[in-house]
Amino acid sequence: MSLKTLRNLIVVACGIAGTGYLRMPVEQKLTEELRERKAIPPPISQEAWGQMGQTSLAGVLGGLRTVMASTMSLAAQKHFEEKEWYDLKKQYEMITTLDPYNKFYWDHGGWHLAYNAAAWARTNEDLSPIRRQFLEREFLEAGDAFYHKGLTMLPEDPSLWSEIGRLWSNPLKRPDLARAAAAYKMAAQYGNSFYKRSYLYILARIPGREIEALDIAAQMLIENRRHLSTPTFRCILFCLSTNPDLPENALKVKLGEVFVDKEQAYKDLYNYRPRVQDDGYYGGDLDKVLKSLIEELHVPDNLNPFKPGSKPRIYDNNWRRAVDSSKILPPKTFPNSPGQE
Amino acid sequence: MSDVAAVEVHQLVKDFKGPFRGKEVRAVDEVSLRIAPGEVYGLIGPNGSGKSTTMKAVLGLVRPTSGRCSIFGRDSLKVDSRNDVGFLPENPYFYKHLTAAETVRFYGKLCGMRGRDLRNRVEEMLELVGLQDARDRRLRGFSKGMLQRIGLAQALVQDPQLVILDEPTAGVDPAGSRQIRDLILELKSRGITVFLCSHLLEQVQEICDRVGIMHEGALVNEGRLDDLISMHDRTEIVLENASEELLDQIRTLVDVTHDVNLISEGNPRTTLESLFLKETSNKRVPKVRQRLSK
Amino acid sequence: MSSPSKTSFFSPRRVLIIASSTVTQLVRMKVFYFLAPIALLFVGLQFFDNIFYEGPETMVPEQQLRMHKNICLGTMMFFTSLFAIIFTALLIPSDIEDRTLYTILSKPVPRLDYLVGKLLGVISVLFIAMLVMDLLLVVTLHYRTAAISANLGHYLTEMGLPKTEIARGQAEVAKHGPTILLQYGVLAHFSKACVLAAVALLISTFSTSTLFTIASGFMIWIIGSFQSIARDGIFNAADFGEAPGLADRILGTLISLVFPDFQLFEAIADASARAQEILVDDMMKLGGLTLLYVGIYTVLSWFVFSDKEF
Repeated sequence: MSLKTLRNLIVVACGIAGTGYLRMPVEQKLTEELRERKAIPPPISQEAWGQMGQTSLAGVLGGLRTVMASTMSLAAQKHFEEKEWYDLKKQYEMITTLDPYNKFYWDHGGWHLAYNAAAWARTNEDLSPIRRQFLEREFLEAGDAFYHKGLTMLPEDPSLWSEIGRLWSNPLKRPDLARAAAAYKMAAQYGNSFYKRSYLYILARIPGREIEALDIAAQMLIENRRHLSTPTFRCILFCLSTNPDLPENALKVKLGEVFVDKEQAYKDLYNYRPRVQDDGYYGGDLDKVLKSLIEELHVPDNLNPFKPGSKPRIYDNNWRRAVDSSKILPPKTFPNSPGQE
Repeated sequence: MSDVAAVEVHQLVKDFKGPFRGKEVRAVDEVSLRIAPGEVYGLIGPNGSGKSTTMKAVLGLVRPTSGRCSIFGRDSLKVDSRNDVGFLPENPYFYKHLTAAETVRFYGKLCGMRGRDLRNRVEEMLELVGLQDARDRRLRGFSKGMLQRIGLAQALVQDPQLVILDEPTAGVDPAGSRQIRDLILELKSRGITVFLCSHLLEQVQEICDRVGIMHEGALVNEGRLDDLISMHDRTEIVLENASEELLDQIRTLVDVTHDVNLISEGNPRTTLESLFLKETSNKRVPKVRQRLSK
Repeated sequence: MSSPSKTSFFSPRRVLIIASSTVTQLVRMKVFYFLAPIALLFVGLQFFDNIFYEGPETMVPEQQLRMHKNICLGTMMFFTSLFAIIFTALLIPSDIEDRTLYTILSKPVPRLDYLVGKLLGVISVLFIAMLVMDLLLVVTLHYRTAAISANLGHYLTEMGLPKTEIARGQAEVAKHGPTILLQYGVLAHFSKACVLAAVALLISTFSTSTLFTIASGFMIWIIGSFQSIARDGIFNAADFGEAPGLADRILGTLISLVFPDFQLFEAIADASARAQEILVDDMMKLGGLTLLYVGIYTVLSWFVFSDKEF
């Protein structure tokens, strides 16, 4: 190597190193800011590197992490179709390693494990009953773990918390309402009114937490009266306030404070009643109120839940007009009803 | 300005590192030369004698190991020195994607020309080198001779005071070669300095005022062409229609004169080039083909 | 007719002349033909039904759009980075081999003008390519977003949701459509390509082989994608649990000092695809880093090239 070439190399190296020394702190600071805002994913673990196929490796090295994640998620569909659940799990672990801040992949991975894999395990007649139970449990826990792992990346994502809540409140699986309530609580903390209502609903299903549920409902009402536009919220709020064990200072709402008119009240409570029976929602004085309204509104037998052959649900808000179409009946309002605000 | 040489090379030495860390090769060994403005200077020598390296040093394309070069008094290593220089390299290639006109325009722009001046100059150069008809053809399809002509056009586009030509007629047919020769003479008549190198000695002989001879990196001889090639101790007389008796008398006179020898006698020869030109100009069917068709 | 006696050290006009010639050269080499299959890909994505997307009832329309953006942005990044290296690597060696460089440098053209002109020419071609791809992306994404939004609107209307909820849902979809955030991602990829072009320029000034330049360029591209890991080892050594050994520290320092950090560019592009907030401040810093990289590589290229003999 000539002196001139050596000199050039030294100057180039010093130039690059010198600017490197100047730019490193700026780059590090920007990297940390972006990491804090979850714009930069964490480094890929050694194990993940080892599990990567050649194409994925090439894509990752070329800076195409998210593109590789997208294409791998399409490829994962094949594992789902072939019911290769462990391969599917590994694939989703890789996908979420590549694109950890995309909640969709955590959601979908958890869904595959907790729902599709668990359902397959439960219904697979090739397995013994004990093995089916064991596998189903394993997949449920795997799905739950997957959601939780997603939450380490996206701790304030209400939808992932909500998925955990949904999983453990699903009556077709192995409901664990306490676990579901804990998850919904986190979802309510970070999410909008939808998640807050979900938390309330799950509390309303847990025996012994009715008073807590009413407190939550009261807070929700204070924050936003628009919750009253949701039928389930209205019913739960009303039924919870009929709890005979309520403390003195607890919120006790009357029918007219929750429902616009008696027709609405009857419709909502009629539709709510099956949920009390099937899903364990708190009923309180529901039956007593329904009977009172039946008498007052002259409800026909087909809309009387205490009579055999009654309809499963009332859909029509103007159900009384449908019943008595020859007469134009004004709705039965409550004095000072909230609908008139 | 007349005191300032168009090109001045002073004690130029250029060493190149040998391949595979071999020892250094001295391409130019303490060459000094001076080209006056308006002169046509030919640098001749066998392949590898250092002619092209000397030219590149003058153009600042290589840095001298020692010594210095200047153009009109400006250091060759400075960009300024190339303001008035046009260069045609040996076996030139240009951007093949450009047309003839675009090529000349490109180099004109690099010299700072613009607008109508540039447009007119491009047309003028294309006409000068006989490429008007090919102005919109891409250089990719050009023959060697055409590329050489385009090279001349770009070298002259900015009307330089010094033109440096490295093997200007290499690979060009005799007609083209003659045209280039005529062009160089025209440049000379306009007072433009021409510095060329070639190993086609007849051409150098025709056009150069001064010649330098390089061998193994050194300038072994230099001077005015007439001075260099005249054989002062010999005289040439060419006679037309001389009778045999007259020739005998001349021979006898030589014999009796002291210290004078008759070196040779015979019919002088024309050049193959002259014959070639004579045969190939304004002839529709060559005689050879006529004979073969019978 | 003679040009000014004093040639300026740097002439934007000369740079533009060389840049324009470089653009013409690359265009006439038909480099833009690669845009045709890319256009097909972008348009084809319009009709690609994401297997996850089972309709608005699954409430994940943004994933469809995110995938569209990821694939398009990834394609744009890949091709512009690839061509940044290849185009630049081809330019100077071919000029030297063809001796075109002799005729250029024999004119009053400072070598800096030549280098900057070549680099600017490549960057101009990359810019044009990026612009075309960006337009394609915006148009295809716009139509996709509109279709998904309309679909969602119909679905939510049938569910009986109030107009405000429908509008909110559609706004959420529109957030993942062609917004200014997406342009930040495109700009990040373009900046990365500019840096790679400058890197290739530097290597080509001292490399004797086009292949070596291209291979080195690719290596720098790859190493640059995880240079930040090495840098983390210096700045946040404690986070790694066990302290790195001397050899690791030296290696990490060298990698951090020498190689550019491309992860920053990719991160901003990925964030834009996720419709995650990107601050103007982030873009300013990225722009500053780009200028620093391109500037230093160009200056160093000039340093090496100014002494080069032909």
